[in-house]
Order: sequence, then C-alpha cells, then structure tokens
Amino acid sequence: MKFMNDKKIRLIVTTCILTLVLIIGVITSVNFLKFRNYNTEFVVREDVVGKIYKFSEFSKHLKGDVADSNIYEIQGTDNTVAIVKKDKLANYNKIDNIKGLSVCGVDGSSQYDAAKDVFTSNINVLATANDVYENVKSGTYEVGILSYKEAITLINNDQNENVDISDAIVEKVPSLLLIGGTHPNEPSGQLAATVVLENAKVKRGILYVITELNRSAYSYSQPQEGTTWYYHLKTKNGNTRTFKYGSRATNTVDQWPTPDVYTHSSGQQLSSSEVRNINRAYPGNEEGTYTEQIAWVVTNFVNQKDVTMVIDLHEASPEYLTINQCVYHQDAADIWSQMKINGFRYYNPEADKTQKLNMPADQSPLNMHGLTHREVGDYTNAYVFLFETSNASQGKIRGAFTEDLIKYSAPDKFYEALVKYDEEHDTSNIYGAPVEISERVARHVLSFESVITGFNKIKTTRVVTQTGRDNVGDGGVYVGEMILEEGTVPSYYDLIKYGVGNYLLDID
Amino acid sequence: MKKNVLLFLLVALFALTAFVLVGCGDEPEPQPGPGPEVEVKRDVKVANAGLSVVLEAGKSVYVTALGQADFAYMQTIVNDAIEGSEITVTVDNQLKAADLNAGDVVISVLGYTSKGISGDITQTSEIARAKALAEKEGIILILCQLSGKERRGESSDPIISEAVKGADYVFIYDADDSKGADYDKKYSTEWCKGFDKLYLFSDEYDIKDYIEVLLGAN
Repeated sequence: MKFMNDKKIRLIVTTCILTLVLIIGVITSVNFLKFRNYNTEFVVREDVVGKIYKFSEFSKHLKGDVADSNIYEIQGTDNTVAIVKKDKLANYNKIDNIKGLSVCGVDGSSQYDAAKDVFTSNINVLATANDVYENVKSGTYEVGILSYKEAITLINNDQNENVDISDAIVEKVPSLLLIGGTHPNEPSGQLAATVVLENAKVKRGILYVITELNRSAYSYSQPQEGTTWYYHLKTKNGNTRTFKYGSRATNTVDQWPTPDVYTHSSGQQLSSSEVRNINRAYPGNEEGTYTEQIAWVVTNFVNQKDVTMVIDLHEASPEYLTINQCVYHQDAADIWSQMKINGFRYYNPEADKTQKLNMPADQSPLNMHGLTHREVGDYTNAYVFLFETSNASQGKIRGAFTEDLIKYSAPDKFYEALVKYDEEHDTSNIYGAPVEISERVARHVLSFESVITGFNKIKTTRVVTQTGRDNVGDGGVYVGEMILEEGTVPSYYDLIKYGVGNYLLDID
Repeated sequence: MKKNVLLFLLVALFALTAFVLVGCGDEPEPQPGPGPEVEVKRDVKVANAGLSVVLEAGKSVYVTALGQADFAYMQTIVNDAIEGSEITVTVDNQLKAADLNAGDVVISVLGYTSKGISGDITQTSEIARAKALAEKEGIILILCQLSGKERRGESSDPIISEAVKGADYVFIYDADDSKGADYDKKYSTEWCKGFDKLYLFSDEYDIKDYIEVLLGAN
C-alpha cells in the first residue's frame, strides 16, 4: 500500500475514518436517547380508572424524573364513597373529619347501610342519587353518600364540576396492588398488568395497577445481551401496540457508581449486579439509592393506602428452577392454600370442562432479603405473592435475539433441542419449556384472579396461621370480598386462543 | 534434554486427548425400568379405596414435611380433613422419630422447595430424618406429594426414596399430562414397587377425603 506513504492520503483516510466513527456515534447516541425517552402508551379508560398517582407522591426525590411512574386506581363500582364540595376536599379527606357533618344518602341503598355505622350524625334519607348530588352541590348537606359508580357518573355529567369524591374511607374494602414491569426484560408481567388495566372492572374493592415499576430500567437495555429494544403486538382491530424490552437493572445513568459488593439494609451481601435490581432493594429507602427510592414507592404506597394484597409479576429463564410457580410471604399461606383448592381453574370449551392449572409454590425464605415477597410482606400488612413464567429471551442457551424470541412466536432451535433432549434422556436441564407470550400472560392473569379467589375464601374457612396475624382483613376488621365484574378479565383459555393482543386496546 | 522434553510433551498430549475422548463419550442410554407389579390406582373414589381407620384412641397425629415444600398447603388439607372432629394435630416441620410413640400417625408432605432450605436444615439432615421416620416401628406413616414434576429431582428424590421404605400410604399428585409427581414412573415402578397403597390424584385436594377416612374424622 504505497499510497499510504503519502501524508496527504493518510490524512484523508484518517479524517474519513474519524468522520465515520463520529456519524456512527451520533446515530447510536440518538437511538439510545430515543429509546430512553420513548414512553410506552397505556390506555386509561376514563370511566373506569378514577385516579392516577405519581410515584413521586410516595418517594419525593423521583419527582419529574424518569422513574416517576404511575399507579392507576380502579375503584369498585359498588364501593361506598363520600362526595363533598371541591373547595372542601383538602379538609374533608379523612373519615374523622366528616363524621359529625350533615350527611345525606339514598334510602335503602347498600351504601347508606354501610355508612350509617360510621357516621355519628344521622344520615338524612333522600330518594335518588341525583338528589344527594344536588343537595351537596347546593350546600344543603356537607357530605353525600353514594356508590362510586353513581358519584363518578354524576360528577362527569356535571359541567360545573364543583363536587368531587373525598379520600375519606367510608367503608373499608379489600384492595390489591398488581405490579408489572419490575424487570423490563420480563415482558409477560408488564403485559398481564396492561391487560388487567385495560379490561378489568371492579365491583367491590380497589384495584391498583403499576405497568412500569422501574422506568429507569426501561430506559436502556442489558449490556452485552444484544437485545431487541421494542416488540409489537397487534390489537383486535389490527393496530400495533409497541412495548419496550429493557434491562433487569436500573440505568447506570441514574445510579452510579456500582460498588463491588451490594450490602442490603438487612446486612445481607450480594454481588454488585444486584445493587440496581429493584427486587433486591425492598423495603426501599426514600433517601437511599435510586433503586431503593423506587422500591420505597411500593412499601410506602401499600402502607399509606392500607393495601390488602400485593402481586409482583415476573419471568425467568427456562433453565431457572423457580419457574411457572408462586412464591408467597408466610402470612399469605392460608390464602395460598385456598388458591390451590379453589383457584387456578379455567373453563376449556373444547373439552367442555373446567380444568386446573398446575401451580406449585414456595414460601418466601426468611433469610433472603430485598425481595417483594419478603420485605413488603414484613414491612406492611399486605399479603404478598410473586409469580414467575418461562421466558426464553432471558435464557442463556437461546439463539439470535429477535422479537420472535421475546414473544416466542417462533421456536428457538436451541431450546427446542434441549426440550427434546430432556424428554429423551429423562434429564431436567429445563424446568419450564419456553412458551408463547400469550400463555405466559394468561398464566399471570389467572394467578391474579386466583389470589382474589383465595382471599375471598379465607373468611369462611377456619384459619390456622403460622404467625398469628389476623387473616381475614386488615387490622382485625373484616373487609369483605373483593369482586371483579364478571367477564371483564379475559380467561386463561381466551388469552391463549385469541392472543394477548386481542385484549389490548387501541391507542386513541 | 530437548528430546526428553519433546517426548514428555507428546505423551502428555496423547494422554490429554485420550482423556478428552473418554470424557466426551456418550452417556449410556437409560435402561427402561421394570414394569409395574401392582395396578396403579388413579383417582379412585375414597369409598372404593378400601381404607379403614388407622388412628387409635389416645394416639397422636402429626403433620410434618420432608423437604420443606407445600407445608402450609398440607396443613390446610389436614385441617379440612379433621374439621368438625375432635382430633387435634401437632404441626412440626422438623418432627423427629424419637418424639413418636407406637400407634401415632405421621402425615408428611414430600418434595423439595426450589428456593432451597435454610438454617441448619440440609439435604443430608432431611434424608436422615426420612430414614428415621421410615424405620420407626409401630407408627403409621402417610406420605403425600402435593406438587408434581417440579418437586421431583436430585434434591427431592433421595429423601423420597428413603421415606417410602417405611410408608403405610403414599398419596401423590399426578395429573395425566406427564407433569405429575410420577412423570417418570419412579413412584409406581421403583420406589413403591410391589406396594399396593400408592394412590395417584389428578386433584391433590382429593387427598383430604382419604386422610379424613384414615383418621376416622368423617
């Protein structure tokens, strides 16, 4: 290469290479930035989702930051609520603050019955929900007792909007926090939470849904894994929904440096890779690391809202032992038993019979710290469950990383070979054969329903707890059943048959 | 000198190659086990199972675990089985054979937790406990596996194989989908070979009815 001896040519070549590097660098940086800032869209049904809380309301340093995610609240339509004038909301936000006020309610309604045990003043009886609303609006009465459905309908229909629902809890009902997106490389958890958010209606109780727990971990991908950044699903109408495939850990942009050894607040020591893993950061700490600040949102929210049940949805690689199963806090053992007896059932129209999904479980180990099923169970009154499904894209023997691998819409030849090997040689290299995303989501959604089934059963079952904790509600008060509106949550069979996309709503 | 070094290296290379070739050889094909000697009893209605009461007056009932899995669920099943009766149950997941007297009934759940066991409980100690319970004379040992294939394997099997040697009844969950506890037929053709008190259940909660009859709680 004699021409390279020419200084001028060397200069031109060097400049070209540097320019190329610069261009590649800029394109890559723009792509990274786009990915970091891409906001996955979730459909919020205005007539169903009553409130959206920001994470920063429960962990102040997250305000306006990438991790300032949402908690969606779905109130049961039959829940008893108090309506007050908007300018009084701040003062009338606790039941003790409104107990002695002038109150009105609808004669013969279950909400009237629920409220009359709570209010020290007499509840004045009116004929209709509209009468209650108008009387509160005009100031004749300071508080109106209605069902949530009546209240929200009347408020939405009123142009003046000077009446709103108070935060005061008139009737204690059970509540459930469903957490998706703990680990952004475990897509079925986020999708299951999304399916519930976009379909479920609650008759009694309060459902809280998180679709992106660690949004920082959704802002980049796992180094050295070569993962696809986005994956797509078709809705029933043929439109495309886009979801992100992120990392297991909080972005290093948000939390740096990484120590050699991660010491949890309990004193437990883990490898440095776990320091940015939110499911090793519980109970969390408002003044701690970025990951601990996010974890604190869950613990603080559950305590503040007195949440009854918490479900954390996960996935794991097919060769991981804890797969296609549940891990529960020891205080939830009785609920778990009732779930096994009465839950995990689905109707299979092809076989014309109800079938049972096999779901093993482990109790949360007492000495393994930082996980939801240990710390949220210990630091709150909630019954905590964690579920795992089988995700080939997290596995170590997978082939090329594609969208198909995430959804397992096409078989991965390496996993298929290993499944076959295990069958032929009676070995267990794989504990849960990779399955399509719809089956994984279906499993999570059925598990969500089964937790409610199990919880509702313990009220009538003789209870022997291992810890002696009250096991029929919160703080010794029986809070009744949590009831979903029938048919609003897609069944295990339908999710698999019609696909998860069929149960995602169109954006706009 | 050079020649010796060369010779040594050649010999070492040859030995290493031979070692690698032997090491990479195919594993021997598993031999099919012997066929079942007794008919497998699957989903037999309790009335047709030919069970009779094993709990004698004044004797104790214990619930324990060998392997630490499904312990809470086992308690619920036993609690439901004795509901309405005057039977009381002692729950101890580390029940020792030395604590038992002849005629006592021990109901133990089988299967190893995937989360591992903690504290001073090890697989070795669980095997020893299983062996001691199996060898304890005069007790009635009822073994139950409530989860399927996922609670079998190299952690669970050594404990199970010891425990079944002294079992009076073995009740296992085994859905007919090759994911049950007897997916590899080890229960039916190896561990319980020739034993006619092995019962398989598609729904593990049906074990409750069997325990109810055995304890005379019905």
